[in-house]
Amino acid sequence: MFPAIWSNRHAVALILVIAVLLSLPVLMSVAGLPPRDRVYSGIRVETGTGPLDEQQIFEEKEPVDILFVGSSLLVRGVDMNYVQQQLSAQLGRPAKVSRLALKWQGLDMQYMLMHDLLEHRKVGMVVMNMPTLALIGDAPHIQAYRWMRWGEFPKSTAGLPFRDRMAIYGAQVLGAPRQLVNYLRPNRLVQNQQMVATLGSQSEYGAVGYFGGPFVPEPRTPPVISLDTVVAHGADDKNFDFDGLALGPYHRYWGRQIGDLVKEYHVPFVMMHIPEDTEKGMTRVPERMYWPDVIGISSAPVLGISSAALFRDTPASEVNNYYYDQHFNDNGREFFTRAITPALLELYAKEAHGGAVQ
Amino acid sequence: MAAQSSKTNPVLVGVLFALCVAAITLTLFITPDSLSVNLVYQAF
Repeated sequence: MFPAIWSNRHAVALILVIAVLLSLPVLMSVAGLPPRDRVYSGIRVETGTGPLDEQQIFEEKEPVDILFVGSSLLVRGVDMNYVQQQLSAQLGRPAKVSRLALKWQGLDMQYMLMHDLLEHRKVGMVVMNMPTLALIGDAPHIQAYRWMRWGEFPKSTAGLPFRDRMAIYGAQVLGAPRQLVNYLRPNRLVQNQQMVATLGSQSEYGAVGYFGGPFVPEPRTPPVISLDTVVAHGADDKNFDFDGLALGPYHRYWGRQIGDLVKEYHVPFVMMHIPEDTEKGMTRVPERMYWPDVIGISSAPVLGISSAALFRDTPASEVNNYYYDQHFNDNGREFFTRAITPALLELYAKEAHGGAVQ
Repeated sequence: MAAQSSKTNPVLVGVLFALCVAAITLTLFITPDSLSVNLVYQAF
């Protein structure tokens, strides 16, 4: 039988290969990481909005009035152009509304995106959609290996338990060979602005019916919803249910880091619920936890419209026409955006002009 | 086989074994979602 290791030289070679692979995240950090401004273009374009995130974080320079940060629910949930148009009208000047998001959920991912942008641009108010039940498990974001590099954010990861730090390091080991290629050839910026915009909007899902069914255009003017019912008044608010499945310690930790980031940059911070298809008929906004407690900012507002209130004038049989799966198609995105925007603008007027984060 | 194995320093074999155990242990910390999505769906 042929031996697995046939000489000392062979053994040393194998040891070196495995040791280098295992320690590559650290070695790259010591040698000097490639510039962070190309880190999001390492994400395959098929999986989402990385190029748009990168452009907004590192390329554009002007201040942002409202910054949305979240997951794909946000990408398909809010029409940024509409919000920007309405905010411009309110302010009497051209407003800037931006959105950072990646596919799949995770507060670690949302922390990193928000951190990267706040380092580079001034922001008037941050709006974030918090995790839903689609966030399964309590581990690093699926794409953490793309943008979480060893040694870059030691302060924010210092308080994590050993197990979670090992999980992050595992992701970094997984991504290190691909990161290594950046020394030879940096990730290419997507220069085609039309493609960046298309990827950013995930517009291919705009005119898609529910789970592949035919797309049925629906009215996109929502009912008038009292602003008072859209903002949660404490953990016991009758329009909200904050007693869902609690996040695990890993994501709760990142929630607290987001709160610390908000305090560090003194930026007004709002959390917003985006209704999913499974909420059809619900009269309360289902949230996994009372988020102000999770992020450690008791004054942070939580916005939400229950599915029953949003679709109160829509026949039950037609509600699915506003979704293509758990996400909104264009019917739902425009419908929800028009319903939530008045509350967002009112909060912006209150929070971004004199509202201090406590 | 015994004759061929004896050519390798047992310390080196031990180090190699330990590194393999470390690599396998590290994969246990990575979420199965990450592994399935990254390695199978997205690959590089």
